[in-house]
Amino acid sequence: MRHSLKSQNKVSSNRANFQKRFQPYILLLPLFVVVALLFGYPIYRIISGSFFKIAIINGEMDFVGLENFKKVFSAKFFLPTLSLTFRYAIVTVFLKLSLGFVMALFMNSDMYFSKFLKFMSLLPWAMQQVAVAVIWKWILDGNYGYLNFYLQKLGLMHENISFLSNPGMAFFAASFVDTWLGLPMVSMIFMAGLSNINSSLYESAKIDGAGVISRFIHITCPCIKRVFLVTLTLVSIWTFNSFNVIFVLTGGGPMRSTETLMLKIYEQAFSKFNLGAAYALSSVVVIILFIFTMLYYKLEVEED
Amino acid sequence: MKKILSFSLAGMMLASTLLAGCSTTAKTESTEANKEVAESTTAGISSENTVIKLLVPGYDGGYLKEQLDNGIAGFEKENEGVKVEIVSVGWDELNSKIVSLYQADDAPDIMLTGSRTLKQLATLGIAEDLSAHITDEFKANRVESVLATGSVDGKQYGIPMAFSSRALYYRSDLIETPPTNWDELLATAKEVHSSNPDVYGFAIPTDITSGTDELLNFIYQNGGALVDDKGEITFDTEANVGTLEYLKQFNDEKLVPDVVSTARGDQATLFANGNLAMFVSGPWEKETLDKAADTAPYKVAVLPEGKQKAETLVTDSYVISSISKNKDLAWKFVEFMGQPEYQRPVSEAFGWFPILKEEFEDERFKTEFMQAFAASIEYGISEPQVEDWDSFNKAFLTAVQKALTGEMGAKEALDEAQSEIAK
Repeated sequence: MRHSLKSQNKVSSNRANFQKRFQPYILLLPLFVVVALLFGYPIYRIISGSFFKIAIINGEMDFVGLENFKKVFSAKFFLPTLSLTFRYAIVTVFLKLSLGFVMALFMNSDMYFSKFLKFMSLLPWAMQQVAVAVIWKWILDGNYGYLNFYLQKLGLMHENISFLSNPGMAFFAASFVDTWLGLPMVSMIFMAGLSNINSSLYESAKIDGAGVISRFIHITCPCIKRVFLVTLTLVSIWTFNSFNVIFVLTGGGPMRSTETLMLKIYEQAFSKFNLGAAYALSSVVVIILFIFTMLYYKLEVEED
Repeated sequence: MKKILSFSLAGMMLASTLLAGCSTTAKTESTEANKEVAESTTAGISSENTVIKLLVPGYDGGYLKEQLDNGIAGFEKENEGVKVEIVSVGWDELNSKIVSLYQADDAPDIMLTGSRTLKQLATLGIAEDLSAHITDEFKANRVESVLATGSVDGKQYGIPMAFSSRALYYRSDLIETPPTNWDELLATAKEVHSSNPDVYGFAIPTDITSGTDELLNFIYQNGGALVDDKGEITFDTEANVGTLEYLKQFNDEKLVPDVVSTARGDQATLFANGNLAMFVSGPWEKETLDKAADTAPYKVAVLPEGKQKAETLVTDSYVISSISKNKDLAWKFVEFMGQPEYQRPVSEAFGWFPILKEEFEDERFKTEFMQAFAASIEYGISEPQVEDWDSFNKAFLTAVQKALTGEMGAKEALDEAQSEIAK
């Protein structure tokens, strides 16, 4: 009797242990299934597809091993395009973060119209990216664009500027429009970070005689550091992946000056009908973005 | 647990960004299964409730809308129970649309496309070989040289339905005698621009949609070609370098609007606004120019000749999909649309030239305006047929832009394009 009671207790304690150990995973199972189906499978398709030559008509796949990667890595365009993509990402991320931070500082202050500014700054976020790119294409047009018109009306320029047909200008124009679209999100994240800083820190620093710059350097910067790093990672991923704005605004031109990796993937798939190479290039992007994502993950874990 | 959650979130984040660019290329394995279902379904359906899909670039923007709608209405009336559904797409997205429709196992039965892409569509097995349909009876009504632009390596993959020619539009109040050769063209452009600084003398479009077609006029006039008889790409020839060096003079002397951003479609607007004195294009510009004829009066002249008289013969064709389940019905539609009753309105819509022999008798070709366009046809040379038109087109236009803006020398730019394409 005693023995059976003991064994009963053991069974129930085992069950409790099992529940304690595995219940969270069981509860998480639906999420894993969704993630695996919605995201894992397509990523698997991208990576596995890069080892095949795929016929456009019937989807027939011939295994070619690393042939697609060899072709992509030995292509003349690969390194210049990769370098261009990084340069584009660096410039655009810098613009997004610096302008976003300044905007967040203004919106978080007690200045007049800060609520109106918050509302206005959210507008680009609410607009469709393609529509935004088309509007900017009109504004920046070299012959009849609004920007050229007003610059000349104000007497600041005497000749039209080829914003979208000069390779250097087009690069910055695309980066600027991308920044314009991304600013609301960045400034909102920064604003959330800024509003979390305890105001008593500023008040006591003020009492101790700290000036505006000193308060910014010794309170704002350290407190916003983590938010800044997380935002940097997220924005880097989004910007590296920019496609809509560049595609509509410049189509990768002029003279390939804005042809980033994402546009190359599109070209391989939809112009050259070379799906294997498109998958291989996508896999390269997967690896690069995986590194960014791990960075984000590390920051998240560090916070925990 | 938090670790797991953050990892999941990070994974989702990475995946969602990737999927934005790549999801459309992911081919599902269920394609074969879908096909089987579709086949078994269509097998059980009589032609009385068959839908054939027609892919038309530019349809939503009004390209041949009325003419095709009329033709489709006539075809549906004659073939009870058959429905023709139009799938519209922008000209620039034509290829990507074809890919995505094929990948989704939803390929159109008929595609309307530029004849220049026929080789690519044939090589990829997308276009059906229609040679068996080209009987003597079929050929009897058609202009043979135009029909030939739809064939690749001796096989008929496209049935031309639009054929255009070019002429030189010029401001009749600023230019008394239009230029007849390259030297005169440059001299006239200089003269007009120097006496009217706000007016550009000429325009050189280099847009991705039509730039190559318009530049080919000059390439051919200088005795050059972009593809040789064997189908090999020949960008970097002496003749082509000479052509780009000639065109560069217009840009160097600021006689043309920004060569990189000028599209063929911009020329008529610039002309109508009084900012352009001469440009080369087709008869479809008439409508725009007539509206501004009071302030910018115009006339048309035969294309100026270089070393020789030449122009690019541009045609658009009907193509039947090789995997269409309704090939016979699709061919019936193409044949139906080739009847004078339906082909003539299509030809007239944009001032195009005859597809059918009997159109030559039409009054519209006897006007002074159309004579200028008709005069160049006998010197016409077809667009190059290449296996990858988009890459070929992009590489060539990039070289032209680099050469004309001085970013690179003409030879260097064409060499670069040649090696890029050869890769």
